[in-house]
Amino acid sequence: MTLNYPKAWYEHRIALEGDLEIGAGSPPGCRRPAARPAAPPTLETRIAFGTLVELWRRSRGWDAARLAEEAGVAPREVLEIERHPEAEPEPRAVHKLARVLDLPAAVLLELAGLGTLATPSLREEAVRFAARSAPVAPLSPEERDALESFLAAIHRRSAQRG
Amino acid sequence: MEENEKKTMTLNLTPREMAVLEELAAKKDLSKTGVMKLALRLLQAVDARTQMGHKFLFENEKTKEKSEMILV
Amino acid sequence: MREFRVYLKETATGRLVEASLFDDISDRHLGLWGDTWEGAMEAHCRGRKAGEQPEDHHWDWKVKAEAWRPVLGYHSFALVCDGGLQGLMWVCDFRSARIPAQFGKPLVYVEFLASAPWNRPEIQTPPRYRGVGTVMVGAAVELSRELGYRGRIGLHSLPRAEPFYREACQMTELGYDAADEGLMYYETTDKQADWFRRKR
Repeated sequence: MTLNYPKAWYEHRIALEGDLEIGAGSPPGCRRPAARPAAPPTLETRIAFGTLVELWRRSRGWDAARLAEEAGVAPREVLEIERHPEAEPEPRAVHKLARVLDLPAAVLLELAGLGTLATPSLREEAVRFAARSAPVAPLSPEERDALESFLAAIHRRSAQRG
Repeated sequence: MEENEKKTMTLNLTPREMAVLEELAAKKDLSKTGVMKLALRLLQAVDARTQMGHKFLFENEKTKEKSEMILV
Repeated sequence: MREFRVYLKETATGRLVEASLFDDISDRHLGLWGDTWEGAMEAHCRGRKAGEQPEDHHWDWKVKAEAWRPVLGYHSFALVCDGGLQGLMWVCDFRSARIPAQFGKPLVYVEFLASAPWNRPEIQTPPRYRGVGTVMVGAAVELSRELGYRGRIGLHSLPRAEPFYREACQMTELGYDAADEGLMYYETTDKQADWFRRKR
């Protein structure tokens, strides 16, 4: 292989690179940091949180990448929230998703196991919602009903918090 | 990557094998030698992963059905 | 192992300085990685939440070398300047292109590419050297040409590096890849590679 670009080439190309980040590569194949195991109450509500995010975006015909773009978070953060309830999401990511989902951030933080522990009634609603949701099929009328009921519960909890 | 010293090999192919080689060369926009070298690297890489206990699978994109490719 | 003369821009002086690109990550390079990159990365990550840490901070280049050195289809590159390790890259030469016009044709796929911590504005301001990405993408393109792939390369960009591949390298963006942690996949055609190699 030859690699003999003239200095002028480097001047021009390096100016274009500037201070941009350059990293490439996908995390599989690397050592991944181990996720901290969640306490059972937190795990239940996190499963519901992940399911809520997934069903909400599917109800709009969005893939995970579109939701990530709208929220201003990395696509893998959305995928982690949806698929890995054992991992603690970043509070910043939950706030950003709350804005896009137009839901109270404080309650989503409870569901995500961050900050105040979710009340028993919210936990119950969360478990009921997650149990009624089919993970792969398009949103069925039942799933849509379940989603609407759970959203109403979230708003009720928000009203209680004041 | 270029080795310091290259070795030459003569390869006898049946008409059918040559036809496949020529078709792949055209499809992949490679010389026939390029195709053979690519095949060698691919086979070695698959073999290395299989030795590690990984499976070599095909997945149907539409149905998500998986089938295993067993290589000797 | 071959050594190529390349150039980086030294931020302190604004001048181009000579650097060496090796087409093999040797044990010496891995030693430099362990001795210099790891510590700087750890110091930067201390106290920072997961979302604020460099996305590649946990990459283990020794593990990668152990897995891929015996495999013909994997090639590695190490960039050294002033005795310091400035960049590392592993590529694979048996993956296929996805752009419809060249679908199925082999390309050089960048498996992993990283710059030394002190060359990253997010870690050090100003960065010590600029141009690591340029040198490495140039190397991938030239390897692609050597293999008969006409300069075709592909890669998944880490999220913060998307502007570099999209704008500075003018690579084609093919969308977020759900099969690859949702990272954006980029690819060059042979024409785009020619553009990249053009002197001005």
